Amino acid sequence: MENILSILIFFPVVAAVFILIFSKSGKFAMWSAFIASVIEFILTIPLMTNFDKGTAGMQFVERYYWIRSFNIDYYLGVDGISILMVFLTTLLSAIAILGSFTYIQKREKEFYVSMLVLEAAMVGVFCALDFFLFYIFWEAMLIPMYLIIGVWGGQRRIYAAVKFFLYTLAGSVFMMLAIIALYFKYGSMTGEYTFDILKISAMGAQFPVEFQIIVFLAFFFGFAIKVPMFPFHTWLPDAHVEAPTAGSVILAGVLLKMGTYGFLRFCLPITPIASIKFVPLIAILSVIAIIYGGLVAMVQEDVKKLVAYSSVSHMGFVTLGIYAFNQSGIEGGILQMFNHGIITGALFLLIGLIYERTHTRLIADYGGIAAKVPVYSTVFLIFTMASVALPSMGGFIGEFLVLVGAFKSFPTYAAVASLGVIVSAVYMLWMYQRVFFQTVNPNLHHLEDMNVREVFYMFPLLIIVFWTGLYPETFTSYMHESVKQLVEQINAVSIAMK
Amino acid sequence: MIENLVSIMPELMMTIFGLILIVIDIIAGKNSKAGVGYFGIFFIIVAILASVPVGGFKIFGFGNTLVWDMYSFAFFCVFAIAYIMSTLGSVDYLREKGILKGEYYTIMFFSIVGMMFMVSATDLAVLYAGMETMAISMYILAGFEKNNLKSNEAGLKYFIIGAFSSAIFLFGLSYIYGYTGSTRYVDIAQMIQTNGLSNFNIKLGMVMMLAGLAFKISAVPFHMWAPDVYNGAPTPATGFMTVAPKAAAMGAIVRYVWIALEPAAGQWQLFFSILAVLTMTYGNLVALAQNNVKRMLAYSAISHAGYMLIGVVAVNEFGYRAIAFYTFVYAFMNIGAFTILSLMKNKGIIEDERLESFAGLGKKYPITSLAMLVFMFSLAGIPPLAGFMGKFYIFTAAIKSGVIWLAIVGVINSVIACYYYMRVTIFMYFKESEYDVEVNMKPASFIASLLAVVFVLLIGIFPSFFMDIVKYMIV
Repeated sequence: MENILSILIFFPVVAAVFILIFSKSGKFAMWSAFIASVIEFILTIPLMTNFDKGTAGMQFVERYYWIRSFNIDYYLGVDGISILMVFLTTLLSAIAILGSFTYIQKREKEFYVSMLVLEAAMVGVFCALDFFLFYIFWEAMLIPMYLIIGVWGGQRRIYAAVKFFLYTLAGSVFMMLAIIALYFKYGSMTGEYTFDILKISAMGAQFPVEFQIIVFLAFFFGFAIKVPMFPFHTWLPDAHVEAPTAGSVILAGVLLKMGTYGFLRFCLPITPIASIKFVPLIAILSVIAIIYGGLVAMVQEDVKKLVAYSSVSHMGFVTLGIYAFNQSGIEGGILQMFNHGIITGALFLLIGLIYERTHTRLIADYGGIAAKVPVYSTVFLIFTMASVALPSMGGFIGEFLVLVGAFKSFPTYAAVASLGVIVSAVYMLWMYQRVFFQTVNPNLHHLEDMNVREVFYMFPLLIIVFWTGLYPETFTSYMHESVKQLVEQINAVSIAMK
Repeated sequence: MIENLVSIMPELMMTIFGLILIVIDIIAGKNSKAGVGYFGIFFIIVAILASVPVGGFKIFGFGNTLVWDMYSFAFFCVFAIAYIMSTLGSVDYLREKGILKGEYYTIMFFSIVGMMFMVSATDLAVLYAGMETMAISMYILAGFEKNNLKSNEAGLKYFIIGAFSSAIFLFGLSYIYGYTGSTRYVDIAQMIQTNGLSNFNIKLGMVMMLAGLAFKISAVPFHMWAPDVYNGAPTPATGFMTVAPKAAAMGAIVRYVWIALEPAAGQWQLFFSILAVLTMTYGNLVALAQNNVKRMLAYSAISHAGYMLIGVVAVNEFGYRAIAFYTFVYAFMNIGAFTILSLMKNKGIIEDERLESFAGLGKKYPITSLAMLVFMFSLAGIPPLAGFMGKFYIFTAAIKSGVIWLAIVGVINSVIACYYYMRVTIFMYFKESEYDVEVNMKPASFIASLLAVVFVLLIGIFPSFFMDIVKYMIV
């Protein structure tokens, strides 16, 4: 248990190197990658069970010197906010790998190696407690994702891969400058030069306001692109649509969460004054994302694109919740991050597996398949309902908590945002109706239903979506203390400002 | 007397070894000329080991006109790396083209002597002598492919423009000498200390002198020779030319700014920042439009000089360390990229180095392509590769000394640059092959690219060791 986080980060890398060297056939690569990702997921279970929910501090901390001349440490730890994200990452990675068995038909070895390296970097992002280390993982993620989109993607994959890469890079280089600036600012104020995130966070309120605003904007730029917030969302539909199924699952399920995770972990504690000052901006952008994303999703002809735009809308709820600065808003935001990962991941998987059979994603090419593929239709219906936030399912709890929190802080925006729930019902249900009901498209008479493997990987997602809907406390109990501490920190600053 | 000898001991050793190399070249049979290069590698390693400065000493020699210290040693290491890597990488290429001659390695070896003098010079006359030794060797290297018109053009162009830049340098030097009555850095510093930089003539002299050096690092607007020369020279030689002379000239600039301009260093910040911004931006923007990878890397070499100049703008030891570290990293990744480029062969339909040659390479030659991918992303500055650590060091230096706007320009540039490096990977991995391309990896070039990949990863993941080396070297 001592080095569990390091094991979580380096095990996939070791597995990737193993596959790279020893794999002779695609089958071997595929199975060893799957086994590795399952082991990785099993390793997160003791992490979850041994986690002490009664404290807000970092747990499973590891710290070693890394680059002494800059006081950079190899410093890892998880708290109530990041542990759920680690869980989500390892779960979705295993499922995405299993979901690619038949989808990926060429250069399997390279694909699974990329997936494992990507997984390692994602876990690293959520565990890093040193700014420099965080940045390394944050950027290292780009190369495998770029290859996944570019090599195994659809028609316009090159455009999408390059756009994804450059957009994200453009956002994060400013973050790097902000990190360096924080390093020197903290050093000049305390005499200790460090990239330690916790130490810098503890000083947050004491940084000068102008400095905070500049740092906040640099961070905001990086994270807003990742979330993505309106108007930085244009890379998302391209990347999601062109990426192979596993790529879309990871993109929507985990990569988007890194943006909101960044807001929680960095913007709020390190630049609290600037965060408070920018609440109206973020709230407006979130509300625009919710409504605009939903409206654009409504007119899409491609199912995958529809789900991609729905992500913009759902992630708007997350940022709205976080910037409500109260317990229910932030907890709702985190839960929504988790749920959105599960639900959207599941939807992308479902779209991917029907695409393998029909080679089309256009809504117009479907119709009436409910009778042909009853299991598939049922599973799709469940996740559609979860996505439109039907009570008893995960999506509902998250959005409800967010709206409760938002009503306390900014009722007007919250009122507008709640319209987004209706919009999401419109586009999802309308899409469901056009794909699954109405007259049967004659081309689809031989459509096969889900096979055992496909049911097998949807199963954990089904359980979790009901679990979070019926008993969210299992998941929210992890975050109570950490969120409480964060809220207290922000409130102290906002009282001091008045 | 002893002190004088000790202060030039490494250069002396290199010269003697160089002469021995000529003898070896005469003895060696027609088909074993690669041996000259391998002996050169052996000699240069011996020279490095023999001149490790123990305990951070500084030895001035010949009336304070040159110095052997940790800083000179750091750059000697960079030159040695460049020599070793490009020697290993060149054997196959030269044999292929039928120009495998011992002179190639001897000339490269002697050029390093000149570079060492440039970095350790604390006198403008010594600097000039070193610069010429280096430059003349480079002219020959550029034109080494005798039967290739482009190579001839490169040699001639380099020679004419190089001679021109030397003349400008000398003209500036004469102004400075006329005003101060000395060419030694300390005397110049003394003069600036007492009189300031108000005099127009001395300013003119300084600018002309620095322009002469800026020619050597191909800083914009003194870059016109670079693309054609880099493009025309034999590919492995280009790898060497983009790294070693650039490092030497950077070292010389830093030494000059460090000692001679020290009293007025702040006033030169603007001069160097303009140079840095122009160099980065121009190099990157033009590289975007290239369809020939060699030409693209030539422009990228220009832009990298711009990043290095940011370290000069910082005008503190932190920045100088950053430059030394950057050249160190740059030597590995750039020569690695050129080594792989030199192996590309397609059967005469289009130029070997065209971007289209790379199409589908990832499928046909997975290992070579992976190495190229590593070099490209390292040049683009994506972690966890060495190039990122170099950029990080440079930008940290800039922010530390308060020139944040320059750091911002720098990062925007590295995003722009990322696109053209990515284009190579796009062709390698995302496109199907169009032409019948062959990559004939022989042991020597394999070792060169392997070394480069290993060090790029090693410096990227465990930079501490290498940063410490640089840190202790520059005190």
